[in-house]
Amino acid sequence: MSLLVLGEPDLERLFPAYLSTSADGEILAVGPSLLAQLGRCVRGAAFDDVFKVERPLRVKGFAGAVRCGKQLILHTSDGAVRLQGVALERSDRVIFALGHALRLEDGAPRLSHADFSLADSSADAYLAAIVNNRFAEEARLLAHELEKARGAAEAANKAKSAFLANVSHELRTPLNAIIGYSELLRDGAGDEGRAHDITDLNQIICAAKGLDTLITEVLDYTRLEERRSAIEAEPFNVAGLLDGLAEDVRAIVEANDNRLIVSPVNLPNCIGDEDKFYRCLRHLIGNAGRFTRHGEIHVEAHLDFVSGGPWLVFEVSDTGVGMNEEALENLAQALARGPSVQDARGDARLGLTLTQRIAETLGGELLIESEPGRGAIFTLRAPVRIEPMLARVG
Amino acid sequence: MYGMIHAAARQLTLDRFGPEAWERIRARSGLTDMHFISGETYPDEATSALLNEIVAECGIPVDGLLRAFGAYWITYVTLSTFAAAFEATGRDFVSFIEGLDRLHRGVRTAMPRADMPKFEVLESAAGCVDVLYVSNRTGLEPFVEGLLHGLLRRFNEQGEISWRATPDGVVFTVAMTQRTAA
Repeated sequence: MSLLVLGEPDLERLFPAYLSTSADGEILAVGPSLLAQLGRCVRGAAFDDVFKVERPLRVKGFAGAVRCGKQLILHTSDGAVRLQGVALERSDRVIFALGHALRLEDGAPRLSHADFSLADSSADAYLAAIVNNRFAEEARLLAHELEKARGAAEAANKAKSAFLANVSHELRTPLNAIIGYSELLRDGAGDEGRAHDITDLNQIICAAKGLDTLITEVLDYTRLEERRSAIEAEPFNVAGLLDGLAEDVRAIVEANDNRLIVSPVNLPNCIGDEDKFYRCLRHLIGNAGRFTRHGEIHVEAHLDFVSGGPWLVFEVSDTGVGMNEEALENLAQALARGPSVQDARGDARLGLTLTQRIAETLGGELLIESEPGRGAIFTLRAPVRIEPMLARVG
Repeated sequence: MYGMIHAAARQLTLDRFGPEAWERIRARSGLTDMHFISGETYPDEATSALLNEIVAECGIPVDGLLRAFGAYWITYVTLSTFAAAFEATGRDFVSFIEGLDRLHRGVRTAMPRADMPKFEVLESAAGCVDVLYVSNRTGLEPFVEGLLHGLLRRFNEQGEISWRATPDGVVFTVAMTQRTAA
């Protein structure tokens, strides 16, 4: 008993890609969407001359498609049109109730919602698939552009570092000559008792050495920027490090009539990069000496086991002019940004920037506290290991 | 609204008023994103701020800008990577509007928070099409008018567009005048 008899207009609305054949496979009618996709009239043609059965795999030709009773996937000989549905035998006719099998690849026929049944959501799914495909493609393009931009930025940074390194090397050669010949002239002046010349030559040597330090810092910075500065962990004695440092920075400290006070240290030998700690402390003391006049610079060292240590902690404090909150904030931003053109006027910020970068390389940090008129405290902390006593004895 | 609208507004400004104008608009509207991601939803306030700054920069009345932007939107999408979605939405003016809700449902699968308007063809006969437009946003009727003009142009049609508020939403009447040469 037939429950529902569909006329051709209803069939077209429910299955715009339907196909109707005679019992022996002659095509009698096709739906409007199928006709548009085929691009030619196939009425009167044999089903098997126009369509191939793609699924089920073992089903061959018109007769098999009608008999199998399963979902069919059909395609035209050229593969341009691909349909899915079922074959329904109705008295002397076979109705293939078909819809378009969705494809998004290039070259696939472009469908619109008019190609789909009003009774299902295939068209919605088709449009959603296209939209999502586009979103994904756009994300891929954006990621590619960002990757290209990152590569260009890295290349520019490397070029900048290489330029700085080359210029610094080129500057250093004549500078060493200036320092060397000035020292020879000073020795000669000393032999001849020309005190006034000795003072002048000492000023030349001091300025040249300051410039040499700045060049060293620029080179260090470019190495850190390129992450080429590897950590060399060796056992070292903290008290010995501070003794050597005190001697080295004497001229810097005394230039502004300051006094350096190093607290007595009784620490076990540490394993870490002594040279990097040394360079950081030299910068910190130099910075303190620059902003303190007729005052004191204190250096203290201890081990901190509280926060998952051991951490080697150095505190460099001074009795200098100090900084207000705004100045502290500016300094923090400058350190985060790295040295700028303005910073090149003096090496204070470059030294602090380097210290912070070195501290980060060591896995540590640089902390700054200050109040106007009450000096500043720079705390350098970085993880170390303690040298085992037995190893030292051995 | 979603990022693609912002990207289209940027492109419209760049095309008509140049990069310096866009840079001023972007700075004043407080937009920090240099890349607008099509599938990203942005607060409506950000879109309003952007359009207001374009109005201020270019000296165009708001309604005029919205109409121009609506028409430009159709061209922009047609030339974008989303052209395939547009093509699939409909093959002529009427079927396109009938497919718009389906397109918007498709967009919402990727952007569930997107608040999309609804369009319905109420009547289409004798070259006259009535389109019902329902949106949670207000004041965008000139934009929709521009959209419809853009669609007419896309399908090589011309027509007069008028609109009136009804209890169900705003009804746009499109009176087709003639078909232009493709």
